[in-house]
Amino acid sequence: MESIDRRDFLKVIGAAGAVTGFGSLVWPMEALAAASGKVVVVGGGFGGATCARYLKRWGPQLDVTLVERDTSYITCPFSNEVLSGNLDISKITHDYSNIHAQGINVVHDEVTAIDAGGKSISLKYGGSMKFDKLVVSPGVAFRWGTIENDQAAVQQAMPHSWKAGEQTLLLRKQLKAMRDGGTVIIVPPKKPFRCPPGPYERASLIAHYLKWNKPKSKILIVDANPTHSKQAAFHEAWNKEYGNMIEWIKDTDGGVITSADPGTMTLRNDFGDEYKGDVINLIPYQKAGELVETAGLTNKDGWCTVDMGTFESAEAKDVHIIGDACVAGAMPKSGHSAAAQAKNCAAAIVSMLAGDTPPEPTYANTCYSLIGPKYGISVAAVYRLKDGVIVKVSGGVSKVGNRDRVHENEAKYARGWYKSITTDVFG
Amino acid sequence: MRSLPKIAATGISAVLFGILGLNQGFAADAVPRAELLASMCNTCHGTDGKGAKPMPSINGEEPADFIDLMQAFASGEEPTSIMDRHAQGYTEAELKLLAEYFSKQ
Repeated sequence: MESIDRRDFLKVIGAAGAVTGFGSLVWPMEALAAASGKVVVVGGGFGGATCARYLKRWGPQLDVTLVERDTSYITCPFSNEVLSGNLDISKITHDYSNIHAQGINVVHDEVTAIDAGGKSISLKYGGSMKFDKLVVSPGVAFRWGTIENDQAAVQQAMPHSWKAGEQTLLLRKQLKAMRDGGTVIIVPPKKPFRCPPGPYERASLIAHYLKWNKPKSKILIVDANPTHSKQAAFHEAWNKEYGNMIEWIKDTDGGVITSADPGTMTLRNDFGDEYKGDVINLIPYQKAGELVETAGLTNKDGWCTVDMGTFESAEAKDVHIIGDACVAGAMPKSGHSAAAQAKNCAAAIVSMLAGDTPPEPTYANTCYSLIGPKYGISVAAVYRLKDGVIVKVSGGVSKVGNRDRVHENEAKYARGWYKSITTDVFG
Repeated sequence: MRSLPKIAATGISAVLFGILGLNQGFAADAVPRAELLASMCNTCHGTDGKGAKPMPSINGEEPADFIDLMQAFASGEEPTSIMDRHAQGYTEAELKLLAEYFSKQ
């Protein structure tokens, strides 16, 4: 272990001098706790909840408040297993009691405005709240109107099911009600969007349900993109498990949907061709959550530009933005990425409030997709900050040609991943 | 092992902090890099490396065993479904930090 040098010694004294919270001496105390101040975290998903927990872990004296509209959180990960009927939605629903028990104030309210200069936020019911540091993890919003009629269509006829909850149950109900021999159409949005492998895992797990219940049915993925996540591993798995049940239509083959007609359950592409479905999952184009857009924290593309080490907004000092809403270099928009960003952000904030330099950033992502209950594939990567941009330094997708045993293990690990990450995030 | 100069410095700062009445700690960094690095492992292996099965727990591991296994994953010598893709992303110095950290959890 390193010895404490004169510079570090002065730094500790300096940090202590800046602190106003006085208490009794605890000695010998190995770890730090020099940071004090009020940190407000907005949004209780993978990013926000993780950030709140790690802020408190690394800065036990911080006053940490988590503001979240809902009293429970339904995860998008494993919501495709709810769609296929393998899992009850209660199994992917989490509350905030363990976060509260950790000494974090949990406030269920909706943030209506951010005053970055005045260092306060406005709440729908609870007046306003001051902060020294604000973390916003708003997730995604839909870019309504990119596909004509998309907003009306997804209400009932063509659910997006891209924010888990009622919409997940609605699509499940429609799949159950569909006749054998029907056509299910999945429409992924143009990149970038939350959970890049999500639409393809969804096709897989719907295929699993149909194979055993309505085997004459078809699934069309009508895709606005030229390629997709884990493509080779998905296509190998589809051939092995589901024959020709799933058909993927890429952008230049007619995949770019431009309008939807919920009345006739028809989609139209940019060539004017029509696709008719019995069940249609229309996933709208995406941008950063509405809160950050209203607050003027988004760039011209609708996402948030941040310092990729500390996740401080390029637009507002002391406001940090993490998760799907931010631009994070090579990292995909996943719950795991959001949690990794949250930890870097928490480390940076605790360090900054202690008058210290944040530790060198480090990031990882792991994302499993299920093809069926006993067939999993994954993508994993480790990232570093290079010249201000997050770049991938190792990683990749499960190999094509893996033995069945590897697929079975990856399905087991997918479930283990879910248990571990949700415990790390929600306590 | 804590070196003598650190103990001395800690002692002096303890006296000073006692005079000032502060309850601050003495480590050089507000958040040590090992904490941040290890938090990346926590996501799958559980907070403090105590995993939800079937992920293996990685707390309390002998540092030498930890480093050996990670390097074998990285080189391909040890079969794994996913750890090769993670292990290749860390330097030897980082693996040492992680090994020390998890051995104490």
